[in-house]
Parts: sequence; C-alpha cells; structure tokens
Amino acid sequence: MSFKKKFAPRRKYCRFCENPEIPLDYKHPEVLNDFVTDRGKIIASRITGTCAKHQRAITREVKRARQMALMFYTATHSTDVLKKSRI
Amino acid sequence: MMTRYEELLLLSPELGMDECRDIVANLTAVAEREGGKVVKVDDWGIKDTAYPVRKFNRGHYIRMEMEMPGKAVAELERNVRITDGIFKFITVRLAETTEEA
Repeated sequence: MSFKKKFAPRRKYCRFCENPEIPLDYKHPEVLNDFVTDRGKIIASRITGTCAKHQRAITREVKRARQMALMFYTATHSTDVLKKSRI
Repeated sequence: MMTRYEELLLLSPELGMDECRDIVANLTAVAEREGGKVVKVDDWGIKDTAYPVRKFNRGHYIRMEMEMPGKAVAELERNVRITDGIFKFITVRLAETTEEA
C-alpha cells in the first residue's frame, strides 16, 4: 500500500515523431516556445520527452530564432534593466 | 550545382517601402550575378522583436528564397554586411523537401 505507486505520470512522447506535420524551424517561434522556460532556457528532453534527433533540431532552431530576435536570449535583457534603473 | 538557400533579413523599421525594395533588388542582382536566382521574396512586414535591436523594439522582416551555387553565399553575405539598414540576417541552407512557411 505504498503511496508512491498510485500516481502514474502520463507517458511522455516526442511530439515531432508523433506528428511530422508540425513545422520545426526557427521561423515558427510559437512552436519552439513550448520547449523553452519562461526565462528562455531550452528545456531538457528528459523533461519534455522529445527524442534525441528532434531535441538536436530544437536546440539548433531555438538558437537561430534567438539570433534573428524572434525569441529572446533571456527574459531580462541588459537594456531593459538599464531603463528600469533610470526611472 | 545549385543549392536552395533562404535568407532572412531584419531591416530597420524606419526604412520606407522604396528603400526596402531597393535592398531586395540589389541582393537579387548580386545573386543573379553569381549565377543564381531568387525564387521567392516573402515580406513579413514590421514585427515586434523579442529583444531590442539597435534600440528599436520593432523590425522589418524579409525572407528571400534563392537557388544559387554554394560559392555565391560568401559574396551575398558580404553585400548584406555592407548594406545600410540591415540589422540582422541569417542564411540557411534548405533541404529539398522543406515546406513553405
């Protein structure tokens, strides 16, 4: 009667293997946003359940999206901090 | 040997329609001079950027799809770098089967 066994977490699966239609590229930050934290860090595949192949693709595309200012590198960019301190 | 490339440009939001068209026309000319051709020009319009870029919070995105020999990329990027008003750019090699955005 252990309490531990009662809760079975939902099985994780790779969203991109399940549905190859999902566009996985840097031009679709709305897809990639599910795979980064609120602060912009890429979430480990251990957490999201993404397969290794697609996790590599996510990493690559997130980094491209950041380069083109489609996604942020960090939630507090240094210029924002400067602005706030001036007020 | 022709390869498909895609070039995403982030232009200054202060540029007028004519200036943007000039930049695209100029880059098209460069690609053609190097033996390639522009397949598609996709104007995303002015969008908010995720973080300030050169003190602007907005930018004009233009995506160009082109077919050209690999040697042409260096020349194209050189021209992109010396063009005023281009804040950021990225060149990506496309797989043959890449879907349209």
